[in-house]
Amino acid sequence: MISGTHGGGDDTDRELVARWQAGDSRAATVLVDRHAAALARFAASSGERDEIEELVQDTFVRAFSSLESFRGDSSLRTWLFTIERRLMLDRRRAERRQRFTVPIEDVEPATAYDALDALLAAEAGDRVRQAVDALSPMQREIFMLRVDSGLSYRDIAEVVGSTEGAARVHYHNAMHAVKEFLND
Amino acid sequence: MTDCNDASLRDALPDLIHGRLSQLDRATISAHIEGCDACRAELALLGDVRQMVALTPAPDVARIVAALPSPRGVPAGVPQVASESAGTRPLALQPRAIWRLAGVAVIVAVAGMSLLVRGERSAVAPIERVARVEQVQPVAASAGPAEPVADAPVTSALTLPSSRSEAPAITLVGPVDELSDDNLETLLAELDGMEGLPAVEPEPLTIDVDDLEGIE
Ligand SMILES: [Zn+2]
Repeated sequence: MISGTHGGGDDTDRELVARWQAGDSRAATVLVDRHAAALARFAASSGERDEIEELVQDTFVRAFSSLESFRGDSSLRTWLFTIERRLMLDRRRAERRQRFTVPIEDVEPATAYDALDALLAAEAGDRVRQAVDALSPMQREIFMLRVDSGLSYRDIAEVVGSTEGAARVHYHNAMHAVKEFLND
Repeated sequence: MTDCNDASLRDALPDLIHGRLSQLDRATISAHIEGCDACRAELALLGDVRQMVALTPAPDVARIVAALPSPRGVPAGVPQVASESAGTRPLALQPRAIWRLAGVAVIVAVAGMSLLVRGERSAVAPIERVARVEQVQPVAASAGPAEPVADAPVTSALTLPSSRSEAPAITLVGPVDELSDDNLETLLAELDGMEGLPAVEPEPLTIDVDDLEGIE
């Protein structure tokens, strides 16, 4: 059984958190610089199109406002993804209420995206994007957290509020679906 | 595109591209990939997926940092001085407060002297006591923002001989740490009103104590 090592650099994150809590504001710059891009990519791959930077900023503001509640038994990055995902869900709920549209979970995944984006992706021959966009929201989140962010199944389970085993099954189903899409 | 039969190896492919495998695991999986078309194809697909989101614009770090709350213990809006730790900064007493504390020490010492003399006369051995002045709020330092003085107790060791058998000659006896904050404030206020409080250098205070007469 081959297993990934967990939390490469987490100790450093904790040190930076401690330094920030002791009043060193420069520690925050290092932490934001280290994780902001991954949070932006996760938001983009989760279907966020507007104000991704605001979403990432809100994520950090939330996190730094409640660092006392960061227990440190997961990595800081996992915790940040968890906060960002909650914010994305809140955004979608608010949008649903505003537009009186059907719940996003019930939408055909591919239609949840901008038609123009789909056209551009098709024109560019971006079959991979289409394949990923065709996944269900849960599959897509887990697939991207594993592939792009490199989170372990255990950390993914924490982010999406599921179990390690379920995360693994979703990942393999997603991989299978992407391959099927590309084979067609 | 087919799947490799070794599910454990497939699970490890994302860890491989993120550099999260031990050297041994990396060597094992690399050797497997050499002869496995399915794993090579899946590895290439993982790279394509990462490429897909690689163009996402990176957020403006400075802007995000500017929006963050201040670290705990630093009131919002109070600019921080470089990276100095607000929580661990040593107590810096205002000069005036230091002279006032010095005044307290002189009074205590003079009172102690008198007790020492009386103690010798009554053949009671002087008991050395150490008075600790802790967490003294400098009253004169009310101008600037409040400093976290409680973190750094000031300890001044005063030799305070005392007598068990006789009443003190002046009211100020005993360890200073038994004074309440209010009493200490009152004492400091009285010291403020005293003439002869050193303006530049501390000079011995003259206190009229009956028992001091006839010492020599
Ligand atoms: Zn294989």
